[in-house]
Amino acid sequence: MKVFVLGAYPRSAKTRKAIRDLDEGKISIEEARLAILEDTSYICGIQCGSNLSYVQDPAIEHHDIFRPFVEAWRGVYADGLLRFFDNNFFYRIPVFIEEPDVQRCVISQRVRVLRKIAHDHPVKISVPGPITFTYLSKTELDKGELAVSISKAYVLDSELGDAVPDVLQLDEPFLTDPDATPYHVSVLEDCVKELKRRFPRIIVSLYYGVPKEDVFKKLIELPVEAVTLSLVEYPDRALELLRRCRPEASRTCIGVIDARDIKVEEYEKVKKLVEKATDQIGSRQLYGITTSCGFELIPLKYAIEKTRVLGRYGLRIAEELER
Amino acid sequence: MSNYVLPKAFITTVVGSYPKFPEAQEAIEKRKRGLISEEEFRRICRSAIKKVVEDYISAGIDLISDGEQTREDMVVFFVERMRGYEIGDWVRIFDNVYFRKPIVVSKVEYVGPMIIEDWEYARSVSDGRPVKFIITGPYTILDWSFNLYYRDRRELILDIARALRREIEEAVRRGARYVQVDEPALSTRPVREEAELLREALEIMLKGLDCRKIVHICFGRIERILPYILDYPVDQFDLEFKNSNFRLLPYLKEYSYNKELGFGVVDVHSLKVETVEEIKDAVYRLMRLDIIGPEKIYLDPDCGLKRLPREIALEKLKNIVRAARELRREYGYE
Ligand SMILES: [Zn+2]
Repeated sequence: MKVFVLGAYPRSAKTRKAIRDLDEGKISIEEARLAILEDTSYICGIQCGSNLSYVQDPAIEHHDIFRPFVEAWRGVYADGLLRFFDNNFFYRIPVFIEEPDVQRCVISQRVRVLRKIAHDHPVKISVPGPITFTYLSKTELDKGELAVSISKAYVLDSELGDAVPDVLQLDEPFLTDPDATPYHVSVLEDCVKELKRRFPRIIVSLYYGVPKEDVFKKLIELPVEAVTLSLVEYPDRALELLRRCRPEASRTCIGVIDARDIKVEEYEKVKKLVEKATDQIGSRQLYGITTSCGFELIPLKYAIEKTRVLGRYGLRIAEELER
Repeated sequence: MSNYVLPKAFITTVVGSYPKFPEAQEAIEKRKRGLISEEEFRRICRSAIKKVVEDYISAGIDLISDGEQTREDMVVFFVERMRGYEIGDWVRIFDNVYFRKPIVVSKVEYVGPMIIEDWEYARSVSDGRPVKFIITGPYTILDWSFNLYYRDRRELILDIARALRREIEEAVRRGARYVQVDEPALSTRPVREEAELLREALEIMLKGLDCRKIVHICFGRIERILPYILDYPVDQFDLEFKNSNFRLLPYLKEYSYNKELGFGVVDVHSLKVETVEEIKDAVYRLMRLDIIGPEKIYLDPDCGLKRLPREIALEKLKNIVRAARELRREYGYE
């Protein structure tokens, strides 16, 4: 059973200040990068020390999940703010005027940094899933084609920078939206085909909500390593979905630690949630456990505490499932 | 108080916030750093409230607000003045901009008046125009804070509602005729369970009070939440329309909407001032649905005006007032 964090981490006070100072021209980009690197090293160290299966890229420098790519690609720019799903957090809407043209590497750059910090620990990089990227953007282009061209841009990034993460995670919260349909998953299938040329192991992560049954059924048939599903926000609905989709749902990784809340879950509560899920999809079939989403929207100290908790609980649960 | 008579139809109003005047902004900063007392803070902010009211009157708005000049934020302002909260650590809102997200650490309880003084002051200088009593709702306060005390969200939201009820009750006792509850967070999770949670809280907050009751909701997927909220114990929903290009209109028809409607006709996220014609066209579209008459339609911006430059906010309001006057004539109310 794998145990890992789903997404990005918040910035330390020092890094927030460094980025502010950089924006105000008080320090150089190198100084700001140093602060970001310190946060990255610290957070990756905690993940390694917590025995997590993958070291998740904490993505400290990004302002929202799209921005690093929007800034590194030609053909797209960042526009006004819009609420990011159900959060009191806002992203800048990417506007695609043409298909993305990679000017700078993001994925491979991150892989290089993480490899240095995490040594031989497997490295996981999460990127905006091509469907979520496309549907949260503004564009006159054909959305299906745009999603595929975004996937090609990820491949090119990795080729140009000559670095491949052990796991590439496609963040697809849009697929939990009631507006998402099996059509979107069929587009994602085309994207996955492109991505598989370069990235051998892919995880599709769903968070903030529970997808519709027809969407999830199609998702779990994708040729990917796993699909993640959060049991935190709407547990009854998520468990019912697993029940209806078994046995194919066995490659599901479940989100059991609430990454948007600072209250630390009790072990028994988490264990019970895992048991309820394995009741549905068969015990020992579970791909792994993870957080409900990234830790970006809670203060760093709680993110660190919850990372440790995830590691501890993961070990105990794995042992108990073995028995 | 002179007695300002509200028009019979197409009453013009505001959602609440107005661009902060520099003295108010400065006072908020000083109070946060402990450089001035709460009394001093209120005293300085009065001049800002007065200027807001003057702007509203010069624009010709019928039903006004205090412009929320003392409120640094929709949630922090209230929780700092209630028992049960601690001001937490920094959490990102966008880019590298953060806010200190409050944490519930003990039972939430009412301490004493929070916004009554601002509202009363605005009323004292409003030349008889009614001033809405506008308060952030329990769902939004719940959603934009962490909770380390309550085992159950429902218990927490109901305690918040009980605390807010005390404030509203006092305002009504002092003569508030229009009470508006702001719930921007509700549209972010447009599912039945969440709407039911707020319904229960609203019943606690508003039951039996002798005033016009309004709930303001903006942005997000309002059309999805609409079917679950229509029987809330309120007289009016005040909703954002313009920013989402009036996408919501057909749903009003579909769900047989029949309460009063605060109709958001200008976009608070755009610097472009909507013309009188544009505003009137929006109203014609609403009227063509044939669901509610002009007496039930209130014209206002989509949301608070705080993010706009003052001159633009004022121009937008003036055009709402001009459009309303022409519409009243056209529909035979003047
Ligand atoms: Zn609003």
